[in-house]
Amino acid sequence: MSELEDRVRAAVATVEDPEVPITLQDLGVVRDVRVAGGEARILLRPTRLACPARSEMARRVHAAVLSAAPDVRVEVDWEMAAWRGSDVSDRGTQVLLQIGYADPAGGAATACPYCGSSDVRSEGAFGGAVCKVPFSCRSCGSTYDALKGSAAAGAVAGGSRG
Amino acid sequence: MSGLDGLLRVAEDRFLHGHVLGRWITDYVDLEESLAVGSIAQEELAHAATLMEFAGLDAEGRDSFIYERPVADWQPTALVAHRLHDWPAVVLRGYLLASVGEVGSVLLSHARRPELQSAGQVIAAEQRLHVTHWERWVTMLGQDARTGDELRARAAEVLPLATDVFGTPAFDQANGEAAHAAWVEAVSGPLSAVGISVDALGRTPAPRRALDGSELADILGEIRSLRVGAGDGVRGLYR
Repeated sequence: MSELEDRVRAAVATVEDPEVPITLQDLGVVRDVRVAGGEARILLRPTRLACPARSEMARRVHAAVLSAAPDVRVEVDWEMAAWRGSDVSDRGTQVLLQIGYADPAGGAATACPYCGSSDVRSEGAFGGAVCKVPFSCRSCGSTYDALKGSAAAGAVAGGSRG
Repeated sequence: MSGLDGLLRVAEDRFLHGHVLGRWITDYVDLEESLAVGSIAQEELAHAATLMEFAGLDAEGRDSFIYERPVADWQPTALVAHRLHDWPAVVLRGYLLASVGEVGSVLLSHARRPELQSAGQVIAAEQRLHVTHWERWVTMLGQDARTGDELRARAAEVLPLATDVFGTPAFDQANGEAAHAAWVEAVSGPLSAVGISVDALGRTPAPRRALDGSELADILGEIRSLRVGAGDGVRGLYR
């Protein structure tokens, strides 16, 4: 890998999601970074096709690459494939838990990210954003979200409320 | 018309449904339903955009396709070219179209182009969530003595509008008939369970036809008012 590609990869790795304070890389949205012939191609995968932040994500990635490598041409492509909770990195999972999201790689029986209780209730299959599914905890009273694409959210989509 | 052009007919259906459904974000049944309807409408628009992209339209082309084509060039299903004025009718339309979206996208997932296969799988999974949502409403309204008769009365008006959902060139005759049959079979159980016969959906897809007397022009005029409406500082953003 070239020094230029290292710089581009490092820059892309710092880009944060516009809504959730986690990097796109840790969220599993960044799928590939290639630099060749003076061009950087970054492949992203949306958590949902309707994610309204796609333009802003692409803009941020574009800006980050140019800040690290001003002379390269930047192409951001979107991959229309299924994003899964298991695409989130271990570090990303820790960040999500800290800010009150369900474990994205956890099983269908989600636990409250605040108190760890499994006595939780689904509040429906749709939340405040297309990528979120709302839950509440019967033990501590907290409300929290699971990301669609996680097993917990999938269980809500296909089943009944808890 | 090629198969890719046919994708544009399906995109018209998804786009128009997303738009007309958007009205229920504010005229809502309850707050939770407002969130659901908002997400479903948003995803319908995204699915339309994805299909347009695979049909070869770039961002400018997609814009032109929606905002600049003559009304006569549109050929959506009659199901989205008529305004439905109450919640039971909106539920039935949502359920029928979500099931169409799931069945049709599963067919896309068998396409030759790998990226189209992948997109078909994603759209089918996202439409499955919509099916689950609308099916719950069909069951709830249909089984409640206070709303069941109204749902069945609306079904008599809404189901006949859906006979052409697979009558688009996106599907050749054999695929269209197979998809139509799979769709009718998918919805027949939940609808029959609340006393709604699926006979009105027909055995084979009806061809798309000119939508004289529909409200398509009015609906498209509303969409295009984003571009030509009053300079109120909000619509201007879309010009």
